[in-house]
Amino acid sequence: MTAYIDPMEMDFEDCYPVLAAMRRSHPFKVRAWEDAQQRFRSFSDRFIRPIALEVDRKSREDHDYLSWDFCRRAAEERLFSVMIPPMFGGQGSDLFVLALMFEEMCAACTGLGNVVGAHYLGYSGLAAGMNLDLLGRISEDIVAGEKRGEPIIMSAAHTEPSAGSDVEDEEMMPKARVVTSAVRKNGGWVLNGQKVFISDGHFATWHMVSAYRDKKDPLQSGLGVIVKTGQPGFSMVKHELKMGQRACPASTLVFEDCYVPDNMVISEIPEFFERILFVLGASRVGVAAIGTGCARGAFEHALKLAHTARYQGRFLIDEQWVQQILADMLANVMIGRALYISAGLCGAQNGMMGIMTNPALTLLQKLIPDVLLLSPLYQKVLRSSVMSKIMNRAVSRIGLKNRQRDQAHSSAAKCVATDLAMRNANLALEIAGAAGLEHAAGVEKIFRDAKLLQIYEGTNQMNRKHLFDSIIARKTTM
Amino acid sequence: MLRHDDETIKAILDTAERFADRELKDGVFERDSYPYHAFAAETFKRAGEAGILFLTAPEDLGGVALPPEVWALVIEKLASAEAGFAASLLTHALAAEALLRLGNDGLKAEWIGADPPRLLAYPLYLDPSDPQGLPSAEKRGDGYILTGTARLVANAPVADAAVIAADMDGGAGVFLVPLSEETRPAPAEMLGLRPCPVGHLDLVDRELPAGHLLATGLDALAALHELFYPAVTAILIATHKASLDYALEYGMERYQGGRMIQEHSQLRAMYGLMAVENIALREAWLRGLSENGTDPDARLAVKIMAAELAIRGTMDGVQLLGGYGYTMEYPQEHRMRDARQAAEIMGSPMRQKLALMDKLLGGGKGRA
Repeated sequence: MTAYIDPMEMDFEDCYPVLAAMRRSHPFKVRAWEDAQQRFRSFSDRFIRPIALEVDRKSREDHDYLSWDFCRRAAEERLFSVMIPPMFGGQGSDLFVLALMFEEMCAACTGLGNVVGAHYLGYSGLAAGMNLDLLGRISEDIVAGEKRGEPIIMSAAHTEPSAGSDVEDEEMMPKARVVTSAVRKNGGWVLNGQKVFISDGHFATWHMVSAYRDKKDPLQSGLGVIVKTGQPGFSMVKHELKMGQRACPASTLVFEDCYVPDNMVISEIPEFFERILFVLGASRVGVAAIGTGCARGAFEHALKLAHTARYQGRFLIDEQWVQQILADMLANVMIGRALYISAGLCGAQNGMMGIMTNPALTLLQKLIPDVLLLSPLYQKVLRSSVMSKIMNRAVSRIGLKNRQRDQAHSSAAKCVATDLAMRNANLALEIAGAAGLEHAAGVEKIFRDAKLLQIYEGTNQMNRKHLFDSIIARKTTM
Repeated sequence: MLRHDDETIKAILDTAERFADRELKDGVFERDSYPYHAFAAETFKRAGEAGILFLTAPEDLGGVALPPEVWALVIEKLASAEAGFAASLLTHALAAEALLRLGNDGLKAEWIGADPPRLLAYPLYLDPSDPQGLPSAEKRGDGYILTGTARLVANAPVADAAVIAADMDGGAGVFLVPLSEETRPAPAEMLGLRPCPVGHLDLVDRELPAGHLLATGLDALAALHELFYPAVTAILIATHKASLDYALEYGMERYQGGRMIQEHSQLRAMYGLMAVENIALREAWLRGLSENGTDPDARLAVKIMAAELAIRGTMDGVQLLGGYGYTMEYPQEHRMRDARQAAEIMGSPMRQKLALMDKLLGGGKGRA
């Protein structure tokens, strides 16, 4: 008699042997990651798995339905301040805590997981500008919202109607057909244009928006600003009818003479696009974790079905061909994890995450009591233009080779993990057979959800191009 | 076995093409919204008026007396415009064929020759080599009592009668179950082919006269499926082709990095793969319909291959449109769902591979 394991019994050591191997050298970090896995697994069990199918169904029945209840619950559980530094009242967790959160949540529902994931894309875009005053103000608003149980969510508005992958690739960027312009006026900027497929658009209070001072030269004229929902000249006209990930709205944002004062500008440096690439270097690690979670969700569904469904009278789990597929699916999850962990480590070494999670800074924040960290004097120094300049200089010093390394590994992790998510979703349907086609079984939803992972954050074709350009070709110019 | 130069067949195919163009090109989104949008009953009515509901029935029952393989050609024409409606018509055709081959004259007259035509349901996803989730049937007096649930019966939420399989003492049986407003099941929400409604038919001590037992054992349904594998393949090939055509059209209108999408060689390679696979599949499919290609195992093999290639190809069809491919405003996403759903018709590809090997090796012994 064989006792098959429940996937939920797979603990930290089973799932992340590479991270667990760091226990001796980094005991506190590993403990934090273990705690994170338990915390987010528990959250997903209590608040995602029970509602995932119903949220998906409701949003098909009524396109205007948005899962605000979930957002409020996530705020109550402080899921929107995980990455916010303690000096701004957040939890100051590292990229791996975030990645573990994405994997756990997306194993339960990729759409709901992405509601939280997309928030951090917006937050990363804001952080990339190193405008510590603005970062502090928005961070505080998010943290204060969580204390009230109110979700204050961010979105990243970068994609345009005729420029999707173009605006994520430095070679294509000069020819991208961008439409969102920024014109200098009265101590600020006036925005006109449109953004599409903006994840969390309808949920977000704050939007990280990229605009262009010269639409004919988008590479050198980028500008990052923060726009608030409800401000004059800014509207959301619709959110897309999507095949899957329906819990996370993909919105169209419209700017009509939308005035943005200077104190809401993230960055006006000519090399702003380079910062976007850094953001993508980090966020693609997150998408790889999301893909791994999705692949795991497919595996868990398939394993469960294999215990109850039969082929020629025998339980599927006792069939060798099913065991092979299940082993293949778990191996795919392992590959996804190995890649996002590897890319995360690479990012910490070579990318912007290395500066944001600088060990000295982190230690300093841990040693200084919260009372001091949040004291007016410390905050004044922290948010001064001098500090922003220091941080900006640190980012500027990251060499091209480091950035390419960061980009190559994150792109590889993203496209492989999301391709494997799609593969696992299809394999889960193969095991389930026709019964898996029904919404109530939960498998077909994963199949629909997985496809988007191969498209957003740069199509997987575009990510392969990045990988080639960054490592194989070692292109040396922007 | 078909003669492609047959004038009647040519006329039927012209009719099917015109019907697809007139009735199926518009309203795809609405029909795909079922069950949150009404079933396309009117479209079926017009299919009846066009004379494409009972192609194999004898003329005295209002049919055209064509060989069942003609369904594959008609279904291909319809599926090029909308796979969901094509699947619904295929369901009806399977049930009608079961009645024509297995039913008594009374049943044929009542359900095939009726005016206005009656819509029929069938367990489209049933694999006779591994039947799952059947209700039970018990002989009582002159008739039968059926109890339990017939799962995944296509067209059942909207049909007038359903052909279903049930477990009986010493094997299984095939029955015709009349349906009414009260006994039709609620529609289940499915991945794809949504214009072809699917429901779980609950039977509570349902009495049926003896004549409603169409066959004992499922061999008759297995034989029926062998005839209709090319029609399933037609849905897969047509969906794959429609996905390729649309992606090409899009690729010639949209630009990326200053160049038309279809000019990027990495994307051309994706188009090329889809085109090669579709051409090769179509050749194999047509051979299965020709005088020299009636081997049922080969037809099943082509269906399995078509399923696997259509699943992958329609995913690429979405990918080639990027974010737009994923939205329901463009037709690519439903093609991806439709292909995945169609792959499971009459059995899932993996299980069908195993069944085929069992057959070729002379039984399932020795399976681990």
